[in-house]
Amino acid sequence: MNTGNFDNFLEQIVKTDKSHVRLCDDSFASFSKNMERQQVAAARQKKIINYAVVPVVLLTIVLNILFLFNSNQSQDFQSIDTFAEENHISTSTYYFSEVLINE
Amino acid sequence: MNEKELVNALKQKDSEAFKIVYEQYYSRLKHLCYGMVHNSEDAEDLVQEVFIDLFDSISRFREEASLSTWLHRIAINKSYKLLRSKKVRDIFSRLDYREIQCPDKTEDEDIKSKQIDELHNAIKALPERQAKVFTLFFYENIPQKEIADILELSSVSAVEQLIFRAKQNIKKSMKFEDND
Repeated sequence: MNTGNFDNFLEQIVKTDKSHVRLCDDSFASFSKNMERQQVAAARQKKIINYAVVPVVLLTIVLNILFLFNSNQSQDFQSIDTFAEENHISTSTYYFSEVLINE
Repeated sequence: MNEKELVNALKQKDSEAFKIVYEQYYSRLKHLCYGMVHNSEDAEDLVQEVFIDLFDSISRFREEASLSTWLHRIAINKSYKLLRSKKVRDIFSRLDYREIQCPDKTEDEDIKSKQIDELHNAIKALPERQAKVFTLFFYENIPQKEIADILELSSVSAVEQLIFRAKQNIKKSMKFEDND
């Protein structure tokens, strides 16, 4: 390629290239519409998130309660098993003696 | 309305002030974004994003730099973010939109179109700082002092050097030979 002075060549090319840039006459109007649309979408998303948060929180609370209840129960069974093992008696003997004591 | 008043009005979300800024900077920012991404539609989207950012985060503008500098920085960062994401799917974007729009080109237009493509590829191959400086200087004709502010470069001579190196690299990429 041989087109003379590089700076002039560059300026010409950039000038031609820049002429491809389409400047919208009503750009601000379309921008305002876009902004409006975006704000509506953001508000809607916020609403959806709020609606989704409530059941998730409730479900977490219920699951936590269930977990705590379950772990307490298994702890009770574990302590009975340990007691029975330490005293060389079976678990059923333990229950039987408990019933007798209560009666 | 001077810049301080304009910024204050923007912070109050004054739509008239916003329109003034939009009309003042729209074409400048579009040329800048186009110089970075070489696609008019992408440039339009980027400019819109810049103004959305302006609207959303004007309260965080600390006025250490001018509004123009701030807007140019946002535009450059957004353009580069797009370019980075585009690199991944570059293989699909080989088709030039100019080719689609005007298939019946004259020989002269065809040469110019090829030269523009070569220039785009040469700019893409430049190191990031050189490409930014080149685009700001050639596509937007921004004074070197302002370019130094926008890109947070130490001095005007640093800008001069980057422009010089960018031109050398582009010259080499485009296989340009001087007549003299």
